[in-house]
Amino acid sequence: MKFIFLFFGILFGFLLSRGGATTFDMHARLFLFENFQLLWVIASAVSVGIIGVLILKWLRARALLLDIPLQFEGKAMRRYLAPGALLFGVGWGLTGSCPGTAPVMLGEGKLATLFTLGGIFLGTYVYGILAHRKRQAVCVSLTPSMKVTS
Amino acid sequence: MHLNIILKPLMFSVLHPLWVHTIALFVLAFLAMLQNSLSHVTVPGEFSMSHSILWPGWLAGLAIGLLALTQLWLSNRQLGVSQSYGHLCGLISRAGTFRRSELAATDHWLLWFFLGLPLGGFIAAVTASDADSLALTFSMGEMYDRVLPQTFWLKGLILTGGGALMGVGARLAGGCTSGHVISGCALLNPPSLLAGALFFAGGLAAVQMLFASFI
Repeated sequence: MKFIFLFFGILFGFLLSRGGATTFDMHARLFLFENFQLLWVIASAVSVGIIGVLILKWLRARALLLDIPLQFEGKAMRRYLAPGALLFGVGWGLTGSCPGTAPVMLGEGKLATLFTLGGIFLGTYVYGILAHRKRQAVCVSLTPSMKVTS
Repeated sequence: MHLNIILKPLMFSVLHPLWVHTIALFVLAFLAMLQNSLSHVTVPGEFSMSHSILWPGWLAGLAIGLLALTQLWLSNRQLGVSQSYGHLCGLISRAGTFRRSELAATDHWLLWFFLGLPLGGFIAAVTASDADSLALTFSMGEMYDRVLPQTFWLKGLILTGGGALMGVGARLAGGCTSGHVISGCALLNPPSLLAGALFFAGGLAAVQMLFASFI
């Protein structure tokens, strides 16, 4: 069952490549307003998505492989969503790639993306450690009399 | 509503793992043929690129949108990439938040998805008509090569820093360009719309400042 996600990944990588999202300079040209190829890719993907989601909602579709009703719940609002999104955007502009296209570039032989991939790992890891420490600190401060064991 | 009663047995019989590979091969062969028929599409403002066969933006976007919809319909899982870096960290380390069971899982669907990405890029490069499209290179194309430092390690440092900003930013925001823009905006989810707008704002600021002294 999980094999199908390998297939989805291959297809997504292929399409990102054909759409031009794996060319570093395409990102620069998008933000310099020289070439709107990537804007068209995103705009049409989102438009198709909006229409498709409306149709699936109207059909009251169930997940075909799991036999449960489809849940259309979006990601929740977070406290640091806005600064996080801005940081992400700066990284996007600096590296000319995003977490989805960086591994695809590796498959194409663009080795500069190894640094970007390493950076994304590093960022995710550091966040994972720090967020956990902060959460633990909050737990400890909320329950001063109890010993946190796990 | 009763569509599923018809479709589900069909899907279960079709999606036997062996069949999945066969279908994948057929779809990729079809895409390769489609790409050959579209191979001389010129992008407005054409420039020298590592591989010059790009689909028109609307077509690639249409295909990506349909892919995201198909994945949602089949498995109730929204297309997204950045969380899979957390799962990869969980494979290596059990420290901090990576001790969580779903992040430490060795066959989470996001890992399979992530494994597919470089394979897809490889197939795309192999099926491109340019002979040098699969050449191993550290070059980033003329524009980024011009503005980033020429020194190898300095360039690497900037790219790593940019990647780290993306890693932290994606986790703070809860998603990346795939999860928040392609999937989230398709649901018209307000936090995702905000995140998408701010992704663009950040990218705009970074690129404009990076290239300001060169134009």
